[in-house]
Amino acid sequence: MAVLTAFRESTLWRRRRTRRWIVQSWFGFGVALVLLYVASRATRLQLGLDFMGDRAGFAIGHQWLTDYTGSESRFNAYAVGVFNTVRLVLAGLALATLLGIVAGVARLSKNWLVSRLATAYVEIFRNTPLLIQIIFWYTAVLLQLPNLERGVEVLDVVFLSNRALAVPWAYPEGAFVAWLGALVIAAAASWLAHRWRVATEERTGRPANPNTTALAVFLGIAVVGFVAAGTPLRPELPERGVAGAGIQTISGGMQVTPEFSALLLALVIYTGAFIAEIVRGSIQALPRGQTEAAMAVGLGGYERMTLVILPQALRIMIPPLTNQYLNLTKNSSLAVAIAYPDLVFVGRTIQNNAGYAVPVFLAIMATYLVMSFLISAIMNWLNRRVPLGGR
Amino acid sequence: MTQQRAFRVAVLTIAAIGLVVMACTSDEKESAAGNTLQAVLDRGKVRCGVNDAVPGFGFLKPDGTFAGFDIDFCKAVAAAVFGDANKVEYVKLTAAARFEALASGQIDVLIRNTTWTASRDADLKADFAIVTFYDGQGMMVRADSGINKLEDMRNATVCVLQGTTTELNLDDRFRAGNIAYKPLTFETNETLEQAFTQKRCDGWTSDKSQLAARRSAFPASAGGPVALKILAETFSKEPLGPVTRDNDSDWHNVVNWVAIGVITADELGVTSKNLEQMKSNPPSPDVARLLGVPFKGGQVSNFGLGIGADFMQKVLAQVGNYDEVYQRNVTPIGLAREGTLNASWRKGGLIYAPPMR
Amino acid sequence: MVTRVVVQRSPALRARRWARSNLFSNAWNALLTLVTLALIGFVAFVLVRFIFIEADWSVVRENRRLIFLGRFPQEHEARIWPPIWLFALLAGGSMGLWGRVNARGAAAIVVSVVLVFALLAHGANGARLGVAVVLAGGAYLLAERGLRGEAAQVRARRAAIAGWALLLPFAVVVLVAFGGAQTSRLGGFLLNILLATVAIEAALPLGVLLALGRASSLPVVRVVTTAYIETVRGAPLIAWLFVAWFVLPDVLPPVFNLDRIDLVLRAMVMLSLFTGAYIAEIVRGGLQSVAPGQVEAAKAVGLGGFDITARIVVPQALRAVIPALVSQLISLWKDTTLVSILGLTDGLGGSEAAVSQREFFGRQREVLLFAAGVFWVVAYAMSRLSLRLERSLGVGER
Repeated sequence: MAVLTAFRESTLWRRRRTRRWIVQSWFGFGVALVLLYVASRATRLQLGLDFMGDRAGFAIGHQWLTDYTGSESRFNAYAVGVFNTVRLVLAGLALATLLGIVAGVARLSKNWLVSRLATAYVEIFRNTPLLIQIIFWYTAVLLQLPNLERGVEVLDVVFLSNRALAVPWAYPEGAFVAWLGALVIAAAASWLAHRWRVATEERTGRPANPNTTALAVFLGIAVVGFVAAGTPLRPELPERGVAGAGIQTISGGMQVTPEFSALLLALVIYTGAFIAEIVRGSIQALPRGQTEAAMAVGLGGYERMTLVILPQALRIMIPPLTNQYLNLTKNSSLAVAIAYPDLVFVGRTIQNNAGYAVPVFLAIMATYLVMSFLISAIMNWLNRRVPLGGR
Repeated sequence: MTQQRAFRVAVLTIAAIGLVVMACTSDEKESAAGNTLQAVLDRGKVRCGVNDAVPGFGFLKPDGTFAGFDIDFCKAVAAAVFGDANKVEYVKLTAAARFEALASGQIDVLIRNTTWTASRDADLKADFAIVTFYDGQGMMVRADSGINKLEDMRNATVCVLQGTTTELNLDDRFRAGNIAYKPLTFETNETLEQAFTQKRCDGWTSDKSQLAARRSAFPASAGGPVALKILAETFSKEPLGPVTRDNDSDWHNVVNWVAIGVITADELGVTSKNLEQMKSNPPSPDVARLLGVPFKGGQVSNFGLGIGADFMQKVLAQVGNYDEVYQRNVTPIGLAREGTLNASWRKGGLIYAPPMR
Repeated sequence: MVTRVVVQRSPALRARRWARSNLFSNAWNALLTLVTLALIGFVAFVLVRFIFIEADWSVVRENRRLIFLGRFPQEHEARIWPPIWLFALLAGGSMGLWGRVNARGAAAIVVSVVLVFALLAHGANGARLGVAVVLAGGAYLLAERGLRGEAAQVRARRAAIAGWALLLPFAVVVLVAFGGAQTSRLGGFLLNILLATVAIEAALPLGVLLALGRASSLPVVRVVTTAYIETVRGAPLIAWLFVAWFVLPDVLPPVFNLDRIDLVLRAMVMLSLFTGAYIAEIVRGGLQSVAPGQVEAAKAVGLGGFDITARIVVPQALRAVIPALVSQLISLWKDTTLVSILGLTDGLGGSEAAVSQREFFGRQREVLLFAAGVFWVVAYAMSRLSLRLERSLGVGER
């Protein structure tokens, strides 16, 4: 009897395994066929990227830290576009997270007006196309700033106009790279110092100020390195001027253009509305006891939020937050509507001039895939670092 | 495991589709080259690639139909081929997509403010018909700005409309003149105009026809047309005309000679209004040949285009001659014909038709 | 005692008390309230000034046909009405069957319907619009008052569900078949609605299949579906639409001749494939939330693998993720504007094309605000509907 059972189980096991094998090979075969077919057709596409080495021939207006000119290669133009996208996205991610948290908390505010306003904000901006919002922020808000002739000045160092928000900035020069090396060393040294102090703390049982020590080590090496490298940063003030036939200009410092600001505003406000919903959902998903316990130990509203509620909510909201980060990255491709040369913009200009539609768009897609992959990877790493503890 | 059986169905379906796809892959000739004229006649409609955002040349009217200078040439081709100017299927194309659409056979003819250049003619499998409009890139500035020539624009910010050659011409010209500048490249004229009105940029460069159109409609609240001036210099040549596919001469001939016929009618003074009179009593052999009617009882000349000798009668009756097309579409956007490159060669312009005989 | 009664009855005092507890409970709250009030006041002032004083709405009035129907042929314009009538009938009936409409809700519905359709109603359309309104009202009254007994209710509900399922095919057939409009001439918000509806109906099943594939125990299936989902989600829809334009013609088999695959169909396919990947991720979360006991119980009563998946797991998974699904569908609704890249004239495209007419140069703000309003109304209605659905299905309650 037992033998019979064992036999039956083994055939069953075998049968199931066979079945799985057959299903998978059929599926794999089908997919492979389709892919092979597409690949065989794709050989007819021109996929070479040689044209990217040719002279670009067009200038790019929005540059920061780069000085690309039209006589450089199309590769360089594309690189400027990628850099423009990256700095827009990085700023957008940080600010959207901040706004989303504030609005999400505000939606749960006890102040009736504040919670209603937060609700209205979410419902209005989540439900209208982003493209329209971008054009709105640009034409109806940022272009309405005073023009350069009537621009606002603060202490002669900050200029606000619809040409740019110009602020003082420090630019690298000389042995800047060497100083960056010193910073890396400083970081490593401060990490070691931190570990050492923590170990001391554990051994002696007395506070050994690991954070303060680490910071001091870092700053010390950084400052010494800075001086040793011959102060490789050159401060620069924005300057107004008149050129040619009375053309007003603003140069120097760091200039935040209205195109960049409008895109940033639109992306942050749009994505912030989605993040607010995620934050609200995550906070509401926390057991009520958390708030009550925090009240019981006498924490105030602000501390309750930042020390107890948000850190726990963060654990729940990382996966949906990742989605919104990816969305923000991809939505930055609408930049073309208001003259901000992001990578899609530059790619399309190259394609307009050179033809070669297929390789250009495949390059654009590949760039986005790499960025999305990086963001996903970082967020997944974060997700593993902040596990759903004790639930 | 629970989804296994559901999956088997899906898997088998996908595999089956894959097989069908493979089976269907006969190496049939799918290139769009060949006899487009026959294809158009079989289909009963002309597929015309157009723009929907160029005032005066190709735009959508409130009722959802296309209108403009370029559109009228689409209509002229349809009138010549079918005797009915409405037998056009308009395909709206972006600048990026237009040559791809032509080469892959999604359209029969491209009439979308397209500049005739060597690389397009040779590289992009396009054949250009006669130039129907001579445009050129210009620069518009505020009248009170003190800028009188491009050299005055050192360190200026220039608003550009994203185009195919606009940004390149701008860079070429400013680089040649050693003039430092910052471009600000927009996708639509509307957003660009708001930036320019708010003094975000010092100059506005685009094709001069478009600058004139924008200037003539510049809102009074911002000073009206007199607040703007278009600099005299034209820093690019933009000869615009209909485009067909390479190696498609029968169809190319039809498109080309319809356009030439429209210009010839202007030179000979044949209009939609005097057509009947000209038809019954042609004043010259030229007019008779144009309209495909006998001159004083002689022979009817047929150019052998494959669309009937009287094709220009239909074109003129339904669309009109060059001057009528121009006055209907381009004059209203603020661009008079007299004294420009687009005047007839008899009046010092460049619009010149090869003889129709 | 007496004073307390007075306090409770006086509306002014009650308002003051409410304000004190809800707006000015402490200094921080009072500050927040004042700042918020100032912000609201400023925005309202700017908006009202623009809408009623600065704006010239003639561009929208003149171009309403372009905005709502795009390049739809005039000779077929009558064809858009039967689907609208069917929609009105179903909407009215469904509201009567399922909805408990209070006065405020009814007013909101009436106002939005009038706002959207008043623009369409010109000339002969007035009578047709009247038919739609009568149908909706009649169906509502009939469904709410006219049905006697449980059986009639159930039958009516089944009929309504069948009607909703048939609405899209019916609309497509009426608009396009029997010598109707070419699909490439579909345009305006009509196109947005059709694209969104088709893509929703195609992307949902696709997304469920992909999610099941990703959760499958078969490694090959899992790898392939995961690769698909992650690739599609990695790049923006704009880029995928470009691919549809430039690459598809070259890699599709010649049987799919481009003469026959028109742009609207290509847009529908791309939107469905794109949204399918996102829905798959949402549904995956739902699948994980289905308690294992459910599957075991189903096995215990002898259900087969397919039945367990289709009848037990998927319905529960979908129910759990309704909010996320609906917000994805709202995204899809807004994303339909991107088809203008393919050369289609959708609602936003028609709005922007309107300002290429010389008499309406510089009227971009008006048309964009109007288009934003239309998008908002539909998206907001969808999110309200989802709330109602959540409540009636008891999402989040166990």
